[in-house]
Amino acid sequence: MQITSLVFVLFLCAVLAAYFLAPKKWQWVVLLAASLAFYCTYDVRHLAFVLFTSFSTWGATMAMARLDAAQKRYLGGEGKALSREDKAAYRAGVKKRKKRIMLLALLANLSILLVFKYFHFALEQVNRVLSIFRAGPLRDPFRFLAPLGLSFYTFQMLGYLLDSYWGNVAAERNPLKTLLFCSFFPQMTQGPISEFGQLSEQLFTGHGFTYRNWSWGSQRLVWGLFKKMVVADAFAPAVQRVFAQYGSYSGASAFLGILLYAVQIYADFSGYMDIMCGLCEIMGIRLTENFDRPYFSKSVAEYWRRWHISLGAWFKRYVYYPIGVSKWNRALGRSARARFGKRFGDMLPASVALVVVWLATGLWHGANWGYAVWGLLNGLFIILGLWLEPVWAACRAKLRVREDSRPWRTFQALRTFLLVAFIKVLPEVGSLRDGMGLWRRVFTGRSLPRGLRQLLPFVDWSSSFTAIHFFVACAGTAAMLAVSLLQRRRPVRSLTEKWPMPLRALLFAGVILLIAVFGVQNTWMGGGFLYAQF
Amino acid sequence: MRSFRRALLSILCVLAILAAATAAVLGLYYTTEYQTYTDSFLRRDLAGSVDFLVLGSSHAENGVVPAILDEELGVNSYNISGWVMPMAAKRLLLEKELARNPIRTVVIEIAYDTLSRSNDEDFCEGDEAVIARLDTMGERLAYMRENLSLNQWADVYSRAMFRGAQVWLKKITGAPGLDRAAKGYFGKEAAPLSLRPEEIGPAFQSEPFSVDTYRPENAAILEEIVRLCREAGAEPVVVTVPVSERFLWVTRGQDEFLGYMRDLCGRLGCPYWDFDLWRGRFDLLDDDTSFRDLTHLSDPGARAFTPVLAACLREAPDPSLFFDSYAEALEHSAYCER
Repeated sequence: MQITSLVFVLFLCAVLAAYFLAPKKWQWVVLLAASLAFYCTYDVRHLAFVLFTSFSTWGATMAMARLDAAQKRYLGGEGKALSREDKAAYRAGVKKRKKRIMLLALLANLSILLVFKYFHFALEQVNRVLSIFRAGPLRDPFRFLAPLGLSFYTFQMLGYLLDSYWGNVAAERNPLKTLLFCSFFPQMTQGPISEFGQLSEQLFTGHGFTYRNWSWGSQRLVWGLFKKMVVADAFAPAVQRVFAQYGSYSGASAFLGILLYAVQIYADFSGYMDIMCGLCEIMGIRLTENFDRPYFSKSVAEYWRRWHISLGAWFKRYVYYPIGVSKWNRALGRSARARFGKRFGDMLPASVALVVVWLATGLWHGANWGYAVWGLLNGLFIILGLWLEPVWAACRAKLRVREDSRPWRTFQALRTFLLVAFIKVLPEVGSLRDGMGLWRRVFTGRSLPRGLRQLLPFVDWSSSFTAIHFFVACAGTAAMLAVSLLQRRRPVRSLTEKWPMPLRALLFAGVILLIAVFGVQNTWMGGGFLYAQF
Repeated sequence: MRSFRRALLSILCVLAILAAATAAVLGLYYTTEYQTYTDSFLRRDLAGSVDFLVLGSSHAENGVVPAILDEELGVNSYNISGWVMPMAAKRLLLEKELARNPIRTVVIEIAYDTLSRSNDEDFCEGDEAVIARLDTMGERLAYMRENLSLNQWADVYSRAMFRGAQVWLKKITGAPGLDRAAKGYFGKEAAPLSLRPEEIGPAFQSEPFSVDTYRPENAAILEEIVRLCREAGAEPVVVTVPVSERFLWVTRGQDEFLGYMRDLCGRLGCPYWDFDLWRGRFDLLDDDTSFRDLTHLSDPGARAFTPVLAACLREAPDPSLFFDSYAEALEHSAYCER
């Protein structure tokens, strides 16, 4: 079911009606039924993987919870008389068994992800090596399409498993509720990757209908559709043309193409989030926010705290911290401190953890070298920022730059935007070589475009239809920028809330009309959501 | 309950505004003659006088000039072809015109891709054009109900609103309306072809083309169209309008299409002329001036081609005027040397 289709809108209406008509106690069942039905419209066979991930995680968390309960019962009863050493040995035994269960579930779920997403990539590398020795290529037995949302729901369930193992959350007893947490349709295919403690309570408790939730949620939902259908989908064919034909473009056109992709991917991904967060808001459920005006960030590190927030938080919680505090990394830090001083000793373990995190982030986005380099580049800029901070601080002091001044902040935001926009295109153009070719083109394509048609060669000027849609999308980008600027202090919806209802309805209807007239046609050019492929 | 009432009121308010905007935009679109396909008033005015009909898709819409047919054949012709028009829509429009006109000849244009078209996809530009051509809102809604899925309704609404907005713009700026004298023909300027001559070479001769994509239901409708024509006393003639030489050269497998069409028309007992195989085509039609894109004639191309069609209609052409196959035709192409 395409999310930007009329069928999906009708599906949402049916889900909302059923949700609010159902007794609060059973609302979660409505959500589960809707989620499974939604997923089945893509490929019913892939539901098997969702069920496996859900039930294996449920089984593991329940088994760990039982061990915890048994330990508590034993140490509170029969085991009270044990010596401290015996108690510690008993606890260590339980912990070991819990760890075994956790690792088993973790490997089972990760293996699905690895097979579907990375096996082909790994095999390609093996075949490349084999070809050096003139050996025949190995055949790929797993060349199927990866289940929709696999990376997202696997990470979400791994997070739940680890939280449960660490004792941060109580295990959910009801397997169907665990299945709902895994398959909740607004976030299953493209995130956000929610924490169990944050989402489960909202999913499983009932919510009444309130006008405020309805008004705010529906405004956000429609705004998300506008971003995706009117802006992102209109830019998609132009961006594809840039990626395919950049070699014949001037530097200025190639540069504009890079900016266009930055706008497209933001409108695409944040549009999806707005649609789904808006829908959940109507139901009284608050999803984790995934965006916080990321293109206004002042550094790459800040950008990644404001773009795809839930993925960054996941890596921080489940990869960065565990590596940071691991025995081998702390030993590395101690050794570095002894040899090269305190600052080096403090920075090295963090940098090692960052390299691992950013390599994993890159590979999470796609199994190819382009994404790996893209991830490492992001990590490199963040690590450089950390290491060179004293140097920057000295430079700023010397140049007497006031850090809170508007020109300086604007410069920082522009610098970061350009940097991330350039990094973003690297894995998207085709191969890594193509990505670098596009970069090179920006600086070497010296011919000066004469007129708008030459400056924007990626617009299909032969069709007034697509050209109009492109310029409407440019106006839509300006509207997105204006909304982002307005949102610095408070949500725009709190401003429109004060308007009389007919005026609000007029604005609402106007945006819906824009979507109907321009957006619906763009969906043929734009294809699906960019993040659905990850 | 109060919350629910307020929400309902806001929904009704938004729906009322949307309905008003839709009525204003579509009302003007369907009741004025600003766009190519809003020709229902013109066709109603011509009712009872049209004796020659051209029925096809964009290739015929851009390629056959009724004014030339009128002059050459002494008929009153109308070109009711439309961009990506589904076969079912062709049958519907033909039925309407046969019922109100003394039609003697129907030129049915079939291109290499006509019979692959389906209504399975949500993209339905052709349907929107047909809907604009119908006479009443009732007919339009009936067509949509019978032929379109839910998502296609959204697509048609979107297209109609877009064109309606263009009509408003034309009305405001005082742009000229539909050219009634063109009688359905939509001439376009020649444009440089996207495929450059120097790019033509063996590497481009691999684009697959297969009649396996043809849908039996489309062939069945073609059969029905031929039957309808005969029942109304009109002679059906099936033709293929020329595409650019470059397209001909890069699209391999066209002989499959030729064989399919010859078989089909042989079974139906009606003449079939593929003007891509007309021996004079390479001299008559030049890729740079006679085409508006790889597969559609430009206005100069249409004005050069229509007299050839008229001549064939006046007197059944000698088979020797046509190449036997695409393979033979390509041997005479300028690109053959490359």
